[in-house]
Formats: sequence, C-alpha cells, structure tokens
Amino acid sequence: MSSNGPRPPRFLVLLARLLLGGDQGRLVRDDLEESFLRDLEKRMPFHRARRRYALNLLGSLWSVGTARLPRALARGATLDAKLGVRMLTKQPMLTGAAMLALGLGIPSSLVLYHLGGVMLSHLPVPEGERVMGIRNYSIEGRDPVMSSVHDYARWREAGLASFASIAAARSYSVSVHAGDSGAPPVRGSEMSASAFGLLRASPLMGRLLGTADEVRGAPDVVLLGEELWRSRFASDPEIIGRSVRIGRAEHTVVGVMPSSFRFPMDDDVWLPLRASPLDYQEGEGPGLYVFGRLGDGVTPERAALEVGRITELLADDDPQRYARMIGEVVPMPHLLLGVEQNFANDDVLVVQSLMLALLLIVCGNVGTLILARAATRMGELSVRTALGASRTRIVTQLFIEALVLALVATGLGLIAAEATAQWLMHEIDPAGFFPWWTDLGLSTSTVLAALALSVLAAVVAGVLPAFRATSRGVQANLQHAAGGKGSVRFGLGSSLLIVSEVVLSVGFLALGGVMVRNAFQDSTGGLGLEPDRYLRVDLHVPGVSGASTPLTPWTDGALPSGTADQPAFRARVVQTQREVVRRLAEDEAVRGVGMGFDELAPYVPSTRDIVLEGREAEGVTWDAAWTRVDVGFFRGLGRPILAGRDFTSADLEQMQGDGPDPVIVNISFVEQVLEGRNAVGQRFRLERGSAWFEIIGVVGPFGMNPENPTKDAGFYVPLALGASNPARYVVEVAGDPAAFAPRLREIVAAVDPEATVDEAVPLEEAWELEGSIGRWMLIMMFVLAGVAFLLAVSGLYALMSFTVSRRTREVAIRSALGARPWSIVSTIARRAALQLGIGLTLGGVWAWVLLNRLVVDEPLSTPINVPVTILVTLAVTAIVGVVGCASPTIRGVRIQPSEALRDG
Amino acid sequence: MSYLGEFEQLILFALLQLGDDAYGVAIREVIEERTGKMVSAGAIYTALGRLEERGLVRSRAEAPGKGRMGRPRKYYWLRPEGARALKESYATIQSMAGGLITKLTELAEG
Repeated sequence: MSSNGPRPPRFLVLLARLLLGGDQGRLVRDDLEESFLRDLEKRMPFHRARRRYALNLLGSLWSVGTARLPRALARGATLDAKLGVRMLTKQPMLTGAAMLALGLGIPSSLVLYHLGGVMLSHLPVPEGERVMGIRNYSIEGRDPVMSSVHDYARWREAGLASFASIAAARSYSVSVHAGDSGAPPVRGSEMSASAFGLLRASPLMGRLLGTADEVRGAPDVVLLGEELWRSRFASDPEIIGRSVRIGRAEHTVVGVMPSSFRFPMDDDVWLPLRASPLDYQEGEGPGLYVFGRLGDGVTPERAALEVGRITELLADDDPQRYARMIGEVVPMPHLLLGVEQNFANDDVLVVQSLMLALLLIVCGNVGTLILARAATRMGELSVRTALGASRTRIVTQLFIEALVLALVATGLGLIAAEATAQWLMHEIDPAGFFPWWTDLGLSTSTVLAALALSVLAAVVAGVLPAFRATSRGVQANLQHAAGGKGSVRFGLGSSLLIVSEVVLSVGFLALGGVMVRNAFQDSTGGLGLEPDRYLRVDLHVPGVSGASTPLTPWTDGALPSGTADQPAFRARVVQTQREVVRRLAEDEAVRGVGMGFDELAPYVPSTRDIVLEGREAEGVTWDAAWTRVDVGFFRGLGRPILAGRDFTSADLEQMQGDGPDPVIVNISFVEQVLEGRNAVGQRFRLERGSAWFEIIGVVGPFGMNPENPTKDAGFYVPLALGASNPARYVVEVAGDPAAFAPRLREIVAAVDPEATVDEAVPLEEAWELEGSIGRWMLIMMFVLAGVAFLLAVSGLYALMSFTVSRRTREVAIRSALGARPWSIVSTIARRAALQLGIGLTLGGVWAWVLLNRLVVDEPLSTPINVPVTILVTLAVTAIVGVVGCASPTIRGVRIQPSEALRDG
Repeated sequence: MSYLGEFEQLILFALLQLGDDAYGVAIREVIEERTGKMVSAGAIYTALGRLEERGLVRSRAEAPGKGRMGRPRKYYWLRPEGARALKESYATIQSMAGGLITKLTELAEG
C-alpha cells in the first residue's frame, strides 16, 4: 500500500497490529488492507470502504479470539494449574495461612449478600415474583406501616386495576386443642379466601377456604398444615369434617394444606379472615399483610404508581392518617419481614463495603505472601523469561497459581459455610426463626459471587505481586538470581500491611478476648436469684376479632403509660392476666409469681440516661435500666422491700395525675446513682424527658444486669393490668421449671382457652438461647481476629524468610569474617522487629481506645482492668510474632559460609 | 463421515470455484458475492486453519515479493478428503431436502 494512498483509519490499523499477532494474524491484517483497497478499486465510497474495514476487523477479532482463547487457556492453564497445586504443597505454612485467610474472608464478605438473597427472594409459589405486597410507608417514622382493616377495605373499594386480585392475612399464635393439653401454641393466620387463589395453592386433601367462610355467622372452619396434621392428629385420614378446638371455639376441619405451603410466615393453621372495618374505629384493629397478584403485563412500577396515587387521594380526606404516608408496592418478603423497599440502604452498603474492604486487606496480605514466594523463585522465573516466556506469560502463571489457591480456599470456605447454614437451620429454625421460604443453604448466585471474588482475590494477590516480581529486565533478574539474590523487594506497601495487621490483631484480640470471657463466664453471680428455679413465660391474649394490644412503643421523653383499646377486650385481658397470676400462686408447685410487661430477669436490655433533681445544672447523667411491672410483682415473688414501701393500686391512679410517677429502684441504683444517700423521696427524670419520677421504695438485686453487677442500677415502673398484651411472667418453681411448663399451659387454658403461652422456658435456658447467637458472633469475631493475627505472623515469617534467602551471601561473608551470631540476628531481624514494634505500639493504643469506647462504658459488660488486658494481649502477640520469626532467623544464623559462597 | 458446518461448506465450495487462485481475500469475495452475507477475514482464516488441521485442505505460502505490496499470500486447495467430505455433506442436505422444497417455500411464504 502506498503511504500516500487512501488508508484505513490509523487507530484501527494499530488495533489490528496489537491484537492480531502471529502468522495467521499477519495474514488476516494483510487481507483486511487488501480488501479495503479492492473495495476502493470497485469505486466504493471511501466512508463505506472504511466502515467495511472496521466491520471486517471486528469480525476477525471475534473469530480469531474465540478460536484461540480456549485453546491457549487450556494449554497454558493446565500447566499453570498443575504448578499451582504443586506450590500449594511446597510451602505448607504459607499455603495454610493464605487459605485460612481467603477461606474465611471470601465467604464472610458474602454473608450479608447471601442473607439478603435468600430472605428477600420471591415466594416459592407459581410465578411468585408477580405476588407483591401493598402497604403504606411512614415518612415520619421512616418505617413501613402494618395495614389496617380500613386500609384493606379502601384498597378493595378503589379496585386497584394493576392487580388481578388482592388479599389480606394476619399471622399470630393460636392454641390448637387436639386432646393433648399443654402442647405449645402453633403459628396460624386468618386469611382472606382470595389469598389461596392468588397464591395458586391447592389442598393436600379437602378444600380451601371460600368466600362463604368469611361471612360472619358462617360455621367456624379451619385448614390444617400437613406437619400439624401428621404430628398432632397422627395423620388421621378422617380428619376432614372432624371438629377441633382452636382457642375457645370448635372449628370444623375442611382441608389439609401440603407442607410446601406455610404462608405467610411459617404457619400451620388457617382461619377465614372475618375482620370488618365496621368493628373498629379508624386506625384500630388487627394489623394485616395486604398483597396482590399483578395483572397481566403490569409492572411493579406501574402498580406502585397506582397505590401511591390512592394514598395521596386518601390524604385529602384524612390528612391526619395519610398525609405523612407513601403508598408502595414491594416484593412479598419485604412486606412480611417489614424490610424497607430499598433494602440496600446506606447502612447495608456501608457494612458490605467494609467487608469487601477487609477482604481486600486480606488479599493484599496474601499478595505479600505470594510475593515472598515469588522472591524465592526469581531464578526460575528469570530463566523462563530468558527462554522466551513473555511477561504476560509469567504474570498469567502467577495469577493461575493464586487462582488455584483462592479457588481451593473458597471451596473449603463454602463447604464450611454450607455446614454452618445447615446447623443454623437445624438448631434455630424449629423455633420459627426463619420464614418458610428461606433456605439458608448456598444459592447459585452466592456460589457465583464467591467464585467472582476468588478471581478478584487472585488478581489482587497474584497479578499485582507478579507485576512487581517481573518489573526488572531479564538481564537484571538473571544477574540477581546468579548472585543468589532476588530482585524483588518488600516495599513500603508490604511493611504498612504487616504493621496494620499487627495493629488490627492487637485490637481485635483484646476486644475479642474480653467479650468471649463475658459470654462464657458464669453470669449469674450478681443476679440476686437462682435462674434454675424460675420459668419465664410469655402470655398473649388474642382478641376474638383478632385485636391485640401491642406494647406501646418507647418514645424518648416519657415512659409509655399503656394503650387505650376496646374496653371489653381490655377487660378480658385484665381478667386473664389477673386470674393466671392468682391460679399460679395457688398451685402447690409454685413458690412465687410476678408479672411484668417488658424484658424481666435475668436480662434487661433497656437503659436510659437519667438526671437527678437538683443536679440538672451539672449536666451529669446516669445510665439506668428500667422495666415495667405489675403492682404485685415484688410481693408475688417474695422480694423484700429494703426501704420505703411496695407498689399499691393507688400508685396506678397517681400515675394518671399530674404528680411524679412512683418508682421502686434497686440497691445498685442507691449505691451507684445516689451514692448511698436515702433514696425514698428522691426524684429523677429521663435526660430527654420532662416527667418526674419519685422513688417510693428500694429492692435488692433482681437480674437487672447479670453481666456487670457494677452497672446494674435500675428502676421499676408500675403498670396496670391489661395495659399491655402480651405479658411476661416470672414463676419460681419448687422443682424443675421445665417440667412445670405443661402444667402452666393447662392453667392458662383453663383461664382462657384462646390465650397462648408463646414461650415457657426456664430462665437459665432463656438466657442461654438469648446469649447463644451473640456468643457465636463473638466467636466468629475472635476467629477473625485470630486470622488477622495469623496473617500478620505469616507476613513477618515471609519477610524474614525472604530476608534470609536474599542476604545469604552477605550473611555468609560476615560470618566468615567473624561476625557474632547476635550481630547476624540483628541484620536479619531488624526490619521485622521494627514492624512488630511499631505494630504493637499502635495496636496497644488502638486496643486502649477500643476497650474504653466499647467495653468500659458498656453496661452489659463485666468490669475489666484495661491496662492488664492490653499488656497481656501485647505480650501474647509479641511472643507469637517472635516465634514466627524464629525459624528463618535460626536458618540465617546457621548459614555455613563455605556452602553459601560455593553455591552463590 | 467428517462433519462439516455450514460455513466450512461455503469455504470448500469457494475453494472449488477458485481453483489455483484461492487465497483469503478471493475466498471472502466469492462467499460474499454468492451468499450476500458479509464474512470477516478472521473467520475465513480460522475456519481454513481448522480444515487444514483435519486434513481436508492444503495450503502453500507464495514467496515474498510476488504478492501484494511485497507480502506473501497463502493459497489453499481442496484435498480429495475435503472433496469427499463436501460431497457427502451436500448429499446429506439434498437427501433431507428431497421433495420438501415446495412445502418449505409454502410454509416460509405463509
């Protein structure tokens, strides 16, 4: 082609030269140019010829690329993969540290992603992704709001055109009496008949609920779940038509649903939804899940627009309720779990980003290890380069080696993750912890994400060090290799990495150690009661019409005073709560019974800052736990009043007035807050509130804070019976509390057959259960701290090994010239010692900050001696660090000058 | 029988037509003229390489200086094995299509 003649676009020609190499590539390039010229000879317009050239080039790149890549990969990768596997076994300590780090790091960084995936996936019903939740979102509370029967009625009246049909359900505990009194309640729901069609559900036997069942006055009917039918009714083939008592009323079983259907949460019983807006005032009544199946061709976005518009219209009529609401359409799991529409909100993204950042640090460290390994192989790599291997080839080899490491580590990590998931499902799921559609087992997307992260890890840990290892020319590398030295250097980045890991290790080990000690110590020493003698019970009275009185949510500024509700229902709740206390107290096996409305002993997590009267100006606040109890709480449990008096009914009346609310404080409150002064008559208020509390009595310790008796100042507020539903009872039993649970259920059933005992567990067990998940989290944290520590030690080991191999000749010469061993140790270990020293110093400071911030001021933590804790952690870290450095140092000291110089 | 893809059959027919003048650009032009479809040089050489590996075609490089701008061309021709494979592939298609063309045309034209 003449240089002056027409030419294809220069950048395309360059691109062709760059990407189409080898004999075949040259032929293709020549053809491209010849075709271009021939097109012009045929009087094709220049721009068209250029376009044809570009298309021809792109097609050629695709064809040649797709043909070559698999072969090249297969040829090169097989060899590299073999090498990679060999390298795994060659340096076991390095491999072990790297695999542990990646095997824990990669699956850990995906926990949030995985949970989001499995819990927020669509329901396992036909075309489940088209079933959407309908709800309002409170702008003020920044929370989704449960729908009311009025909301449901309005959406139905509006005739939501975006949905083929809509339905509603509410899920709660129900007592199923199958001739086995004392059995725990099961989860059941009232559901509109339209729900079954909408979910495309069919019964295992019998029929579904129909619209005729929803009519008030129609015979009471029930659908049973397959598991319940099998376990409680012995798979009775004649179950259809049989009468079963649910709560107070007899219900006729009309069908059995297959075990694959447990809608909405994890339910076993379905009753017709008969709640009507006529039964309730606006804003009252049971909370409902409202949902619908999208009409053909309707997108969720279009449905959301319609629901949003309806809420806006409602706001015109009833601004008080709807003006601060947004109507939204969300996937079903978001509705049922109360998750915000945008699950990946800022908090989640921050946590996810932090986890990925941690993974990158881990990868960086593994990269240091791989760099150290590459340093010992410089001779081999240089010779390969000299024999014609391109830099890309060498980098690819190191990448594949890192990839093999990452994939094996990820594979092992995923196996461990799957085992953990199965354990969790087995241990925790029977308690109904996870919703029915959740399978924590590994999903395809999680495995793919883990594999993608493995590749990323291999790039960070393999490619970057490989570029550094091959950054010098062949000549320089060969010279260094011939001289017994590597050309690779541990730069500032590697040093920073090692130092930062020592810092992280010290901090996490100190914190983790304290927390693990907290979690596993016998925490009942300062409790003031023997937990193995008590039963903790949650009693819930469901309304006939489904109404329940939830605990009034805590609002800063004032203690909640209870809820107003339908008078008749409230009277029933009061009667049930009082009668259960009376009958329990009369039972021979019971030594004492007390009723409260929040978390009771042995774990009261709610604490608030309080201000003492007369000391507001000082700006001093105290942290105090609080809980609301029945006025007969202390009498019922036989807890003596140490000073002042016990609660009486008159106190409840006083709480309705303008004066200060009466409270009883514990002895720790007197000692810690009042510094031993006479408590009775003293007043305090919440830091962010205006209402005053007046202390009328003092009691001994009773499980306000078993973790840290020095931080268990607390106070009790009286609350009227029926003001809260459910109620929580603490029952002191003469014998084994667990053995008393069935008897307790019988007593409750005799008082109110519909009332459910949602929980009846020995205090000790309840404490164990509450603590167990937290403990496992702590153990995980401790393990991760251990891994960071192991990485730091292995980094130091790698640095030392590298130094020894790099300076063998120098050490040999110095040794031959009569240098003392100590001087040689100093030569080899100086840098590692410096890094360890800096890391320990900074780590000590960080641990100090961490412990003071997170442990010392934390009420639920046992008291610790911070300096001793830090010194012990530093000592342990230093000893392990030194031990990690010992082996290469000894190797360095034992270098024989004659051998080293001869080999060099 | 050696299986031939559609594109490989097109290339072998082009070699048949071009005889001694079958090199990349010429093959590409013949295919484009006869089929009306644009094909890339890369696709042609990739397929030719594959056919050569299978022993269906042979090639020789023209000595430098003789061809375009002093750069050598590579000429290809059918080996008897290639001719047999092409004949069998074509016969298979013909046998399958026998008596069906009218029906196919009717279906295609709706």
